[in-house]
Parts: sequence; C-alpha cells; structure tokens
Amino acid sequence: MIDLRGVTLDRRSPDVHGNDLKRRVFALLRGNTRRPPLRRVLEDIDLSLAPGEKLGVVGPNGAGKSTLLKVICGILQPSGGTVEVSGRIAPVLEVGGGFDPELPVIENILFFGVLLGFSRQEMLSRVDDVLEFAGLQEYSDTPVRALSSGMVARLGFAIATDVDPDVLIVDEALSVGDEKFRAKSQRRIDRMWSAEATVIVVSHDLQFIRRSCHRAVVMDHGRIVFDGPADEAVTNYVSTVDARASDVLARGRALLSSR
Amino acid sequence: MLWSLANPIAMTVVYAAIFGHTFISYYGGSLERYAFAVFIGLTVIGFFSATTSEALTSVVADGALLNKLNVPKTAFPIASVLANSFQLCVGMLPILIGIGIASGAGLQLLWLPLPLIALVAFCCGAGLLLSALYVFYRDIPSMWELLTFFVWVTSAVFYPLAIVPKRIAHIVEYNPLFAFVTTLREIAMGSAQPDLRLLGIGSLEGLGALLVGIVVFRAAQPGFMDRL
Repeated sequence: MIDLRGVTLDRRSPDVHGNDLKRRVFALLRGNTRRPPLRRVLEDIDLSLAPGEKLGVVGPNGAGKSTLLKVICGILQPSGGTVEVSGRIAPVLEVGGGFDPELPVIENILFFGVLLGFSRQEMLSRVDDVLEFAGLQEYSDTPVRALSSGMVARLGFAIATDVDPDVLIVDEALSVGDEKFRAKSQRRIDRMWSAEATVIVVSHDLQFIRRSCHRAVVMDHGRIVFDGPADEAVTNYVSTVDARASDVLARGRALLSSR
Repeated sequence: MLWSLANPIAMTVVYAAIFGHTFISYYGGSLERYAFAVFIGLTVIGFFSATTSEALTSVVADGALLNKLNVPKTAFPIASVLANSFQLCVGMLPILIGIGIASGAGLQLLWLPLPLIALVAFCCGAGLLLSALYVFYRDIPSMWELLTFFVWVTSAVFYPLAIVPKRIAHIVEYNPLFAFVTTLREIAMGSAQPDLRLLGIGSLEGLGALLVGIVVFRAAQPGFMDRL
C-alpha cells in the first residue's frame, strides 16, 4: 500500500559559493549571507496505490518523475505532506548507480541484498539464481567495472526482481540488454505482473506503459497533471507534447513570415 | 592486512636507528624499550589517521548508492572504522601482548581491551563528525590532513615527554591521543598499575567523541541528499 497526501518537496539549488568552507568563510566576512534559494520540485502530490497495482509514470525530462520515486523509496523526505508505504521496496539499479565497481559481481549481489534488508545467508542461496538470470555465471568473480554497461543493467534488473519485493520501482531500466535478455526479462515482468507485487514504472516507452500498466500518471513541472487509465494518460501526454510542438512550429512560422 | 603491520614495524626500525641512541637514557638504557614505545605510539596514531581519513569520505563516496537506496547513513563511517578495528585485533593485539610478555607484564595485560575499545569509539565519533562535515564542505580533507599531522607530531610518539620544554608540555598532555598512547604503553610495557586517571580520561574521550559524532551526524543528515 502506498499513500501520498499533499506531498511537496523543496530542494536546495546548488550553492553559489560552492561546497567549500574557505569560500563560505570569506563570503561571510564580506557580509554575503545570501542563502541559495529553494526550488520546488514536487508540488501537492496526491497518489494512492492499492497492493498489486501497476502504475506508469510519464512526463517530460525534469518533470519530477525520478524525484517522486525517491520520495516513495524514502530516500528523500518530503518538505510537506505525508508519505505512507508498507512492504519491502526494491529499486532496479540503473547503469552506474549503486554497485561498487571494484567488488566482484558476486559480492555486489550479496552487498545489495543486505542493503535491501535480506540476511547474508538468504542472499547466498539466491546468488546462483541471480547470476543465471543475468547470464553472468562466468563473470561471478569479475569486478563490476569490467562488465559492459548492458551486463550491469542486467545484473541490476536480475537482483531487484529476484528478491520478490512487495513494491518494485523501475526507473527507465526495462529496455536494457540484448534481444535475448529482453525476452527473458519480459517473462519475468509478466510474472511480476501476475503476482501481488505493486510496480511503479517510469518510462519514456509509451507503448510499454500503454500495454502493461493499469493506470498511469502524467507529470509536469512537479505536479501530477493527469491520473487515470494508462491508455488515456498516454493519449493525454502525447497530445500536450503535440500541442507544444505545434505551438513551437507556429511560432517558428510566424517568425519566418514576419521577415 | 600485512601492510598495515609492515608500516609501523618499518617506521619503528627507522626511528630506533636514528633517534634510539639519543633517547636511550630516558628508557632505562634499553633500545628495546624505546622501540616498544615508538611501536605502540605509531599503532595508535596510524589507526587514528587511517580510520578517520577513510571515514571522512565514506558518505560522499557512496552518494550514488544513497540516491538509490534508503539505508542508514551512519553505517558508512562506522564501517570504515570497524573494518580497520578487525586488523587492530588480529594484527596489533598479539604484538602488544608479545611486548607485554617480553617486558614482564602480568595480569595487568587484561586492561588492554579498555583503551583499545575507547580508541575505536573515539575514532568512530571523529569519523561520524568528519563524514557529515565533508558532505557540506569539500575542503575538509586538506584541513584534516594538517590537523592529523599536528596531532601526530605532538603525541610524543618517537620522543620522550621529558624532553618537551615545560612551557609547552601541556600541548602534548592535551593531545587527544595522549591518554590512549600512554595507557597502552603503561599496560604493555609493564608498569605495576596503569594510571587509572588516564584510563578514565581515555574512556571519557571515547564516549564523548562518539556522542558528539552521533548528535552532529543526526542533525546534519536532513541536509545530505541535496548535496550528494
């Protein structure tokens, strides 16, 4: 169960003085006490998900999609409103995030599992499964930095979906790997879909959202601007993008004809 | 593992070769005792500088991970210190006991764990404090390097306290590592009883540093994610 009520989030914009004690002190001596402004990145988000629901999140870059996921995961604390989440959450790690590049694949699987709240013992029994699914049996002792980016993505997907979480968070990671892996992961996704897990997918693959999610929200400028059946949400999103595109087109034409 | 032992042993040999004869009279005419004192001092200061500098960057270094998973952030600096503590236990402790036996120390060796635990707690506290500060101010490492060097030079590791001019001797006595170095020397090098007052000071330092570290870390934590 996931329940967000009136969630807002303000984040601090990068500091003009940089993250530097020396410069901060000099700035204070010069009487510059200006604090960097806060930027509102999520505004009044109401979102409620029943167990087993599959939600798609779409919207332009910078709309706050990934930030919303971080709030749901508990990585970011909301500045206002309440967040209630029950059950175990597992995020699919994207390429380059979260793994220790120096540690071998097998250690990373254990490490990640422990961070997700599993015992080392339990993860040891799952290691073979994960390696097999990711197709990385021969690479179990290879440091992660030596893997190709596709292999890392496969590994992230394999771990997150192997641990049977109550809530699976997927941020743009479904279209990873080669054709063979895609077919395999599609089967696993189908299995997750039929199971009780709640799934939240952020993706620009609108066909996927349309096909696989019951429901989708459209985000723009930190707000949820549409919440409804996936089909309608995608149509709504595409039409706003089209409207914007034709607006730009019209302005371009006007500019040309005024010359 | 081997290197963490090789460093203080090699340094001890160097110091004994260069300063041994100059300071031998302060150690009952025994070069061995000078070497023991140097080794114990180097062990403490080495542990302190290795753990704190490792803990310092620990939170920032795992910023990518913290952006993906909600894990207790205190785990990172504490883990840096505890990983080194394992080496302290399996590498240094046997040597300290060996020094104790060679110096004819008896049951008082049972005191050894107390200053060692206090030292670990002290380093955990410092590590928590530094790792939190480093998230906010990225120029902390250069400052810390300077400070560690100052602590190192003033901790009477390779010279006897007696040669320090009276007027500035208190700089050495107020050195945060002084209590740990001195009590470990007393215990392992066989004075009849370790100085209980110094043992108490060391334990309070450990406890105090740990408390300050936890409080500061907790207070700073809400600001972490906007800077990682």
